[in-house]
Amino acid sequence: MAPANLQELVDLTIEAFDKADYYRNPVMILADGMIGQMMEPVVFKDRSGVELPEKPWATRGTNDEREPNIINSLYLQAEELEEHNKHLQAKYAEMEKNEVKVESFGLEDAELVIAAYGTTSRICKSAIASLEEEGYKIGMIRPISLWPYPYDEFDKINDNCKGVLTVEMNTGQMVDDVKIALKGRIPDYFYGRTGGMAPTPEEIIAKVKEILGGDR
Amino acid sequence: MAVVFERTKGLTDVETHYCPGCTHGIIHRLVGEALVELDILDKTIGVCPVGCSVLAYKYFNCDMQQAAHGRAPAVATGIKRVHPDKFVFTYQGDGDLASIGTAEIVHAAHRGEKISTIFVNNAIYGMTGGQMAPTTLIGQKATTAPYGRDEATAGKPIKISEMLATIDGAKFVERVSVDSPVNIRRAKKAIIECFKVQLEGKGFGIVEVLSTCPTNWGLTPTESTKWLKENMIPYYPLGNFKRPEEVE
Repeated sequence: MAPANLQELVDLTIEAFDKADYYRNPVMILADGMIGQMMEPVVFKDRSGVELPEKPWATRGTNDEREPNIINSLYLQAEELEEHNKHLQAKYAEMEKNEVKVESFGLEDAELVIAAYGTTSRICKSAIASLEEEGYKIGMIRPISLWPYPYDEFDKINDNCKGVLTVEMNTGQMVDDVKIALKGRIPDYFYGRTGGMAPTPEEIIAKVKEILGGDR
Repeated sequence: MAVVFERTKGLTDVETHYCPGCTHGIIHRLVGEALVELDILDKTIGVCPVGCSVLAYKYFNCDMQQAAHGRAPAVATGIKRVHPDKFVFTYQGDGDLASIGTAEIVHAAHRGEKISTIFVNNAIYGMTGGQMAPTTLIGQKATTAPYGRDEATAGKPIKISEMLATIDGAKFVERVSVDSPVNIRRAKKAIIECFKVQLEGKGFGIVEVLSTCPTNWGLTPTESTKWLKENMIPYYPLGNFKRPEEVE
C-alpha cells in the first residue's frame, strides 16, 4: 500500500496490521523517502469495534485440550506443497477481489490521464491543477494498493484519451501494470526521476504538453 | 511384567528422518522426557531451527513453530513475551545457532529472555552436506575444507558456551555430551536444570550438547562416539559454566 500523505500513512499502517492478521499474510507499506522524512499533523482514529478472527492455529500450548499445533512453511511432499500452493492462490484471489484501493478523477473526459502513487501523486496533482488553468483536461489514477493493482480502474478512461502518463520516482516500476491495464487501448508514456530526486510540477507539465503537442 | 522403559509422551510416535547413529534422537528423547517430568508438555511451545532438526516440529509432542535460519531465539522471544506463562524452548544446531544465528542467540541471552535453548553441536553442517561450520575442529575435514580446517584462514572453532557465559542475561550455561550412558544422564540433568531456570523466571538458559554426525564425519556410529570423546571433548570441555545460585 502506497500512502500519499502522513494521515494516510497512519490509517494504512493500522489497516495493514488488521489485514495481515485477517489473511495471515504480510502487508507492506511503501513509504517513499519524502513520506518517511516529512512531518504533518495526524489523527489516530478510534479503533474500537474492530474484530479480528479467532486463531485456533496459534501455538499457545495445548493445555491438554487439543492436538499440538505446528506453524511451519516446509512441505516436503510434492502433493502436500501443491495443495498448499492452491490454498495460497485462493487466498491471493480473495485479496485481489476485496482489497483493491484506488483514487481517481476525470477519467470520463480526460485528454490525458496521469498514473502515480505516493509522494509523486501529490506533485502530479499540483501539475494537473496548473494544466487545468491552461484549459487541459487531465485525469488521474492513484493506486493506493499497488498489489492488488487497480487494473479495472483504467477501463473507465474514455476512448478518446490520448495517453496515460506514468510518473514515478524510479525508472518505471509501475509501467508494466499500466500497460496490462490499458490492453493496448491507449498509448502509455513514462516520466521518472531517481536517486531521491522528485519530479517537479514544471517537469510534469512539460512532459504532458510534449505528449499532447505543445502549448495552447 | 513391569515396564522398565517406554517412549516418552514428550515425543510423537513417528519414525524420525535422522541418519543411523545420529544422536539427535537421544537429545530429542531427553528434551521430551524433561518436558514430561517437569509436567510442562501442555504449556510448552518449541521453536525449530533450519538444519537437520528442522523437522523436529513433527517429533516433539507439543505446539511447535519453525523459524527462519538462525532466528529461533527471536521467534521464541516473541512467543515468550506474548505468553509469559508458557514454557518456550529453541532446538538449534551449530550451523544454525553458531553461524547465521549468532546475533540472535547473543542478543536473546543479553536481553535475558526467559527462554531455554538446546544447542546441538556436531562440529559440521549436517543437512546441507558436511560443510565446515564455525564449530568444525582444526584439521577436521569437511566438504568445504577438504584438507581440514586451517586456522590461518578459518580461525579456531567458536566456543559458544564460554562466550554466552560472559553475558549477564545468560543465567544457565552448561555443555554436555551424549557419547556415553553416563554423559547422557548428565545431559538430561542439565536440560532439566536449564528448563527450571526459565520456569522460575530467572532468565536465559542454554545447554550445549556435543553430538555426532556419522554420515558427514564419514565414520560408523561407534567410531563417531569415539571421535567425539577423543577430539571434541578436549576442545569443548564439558561442565557447567554458569547457574543461578538458588538452583545450585
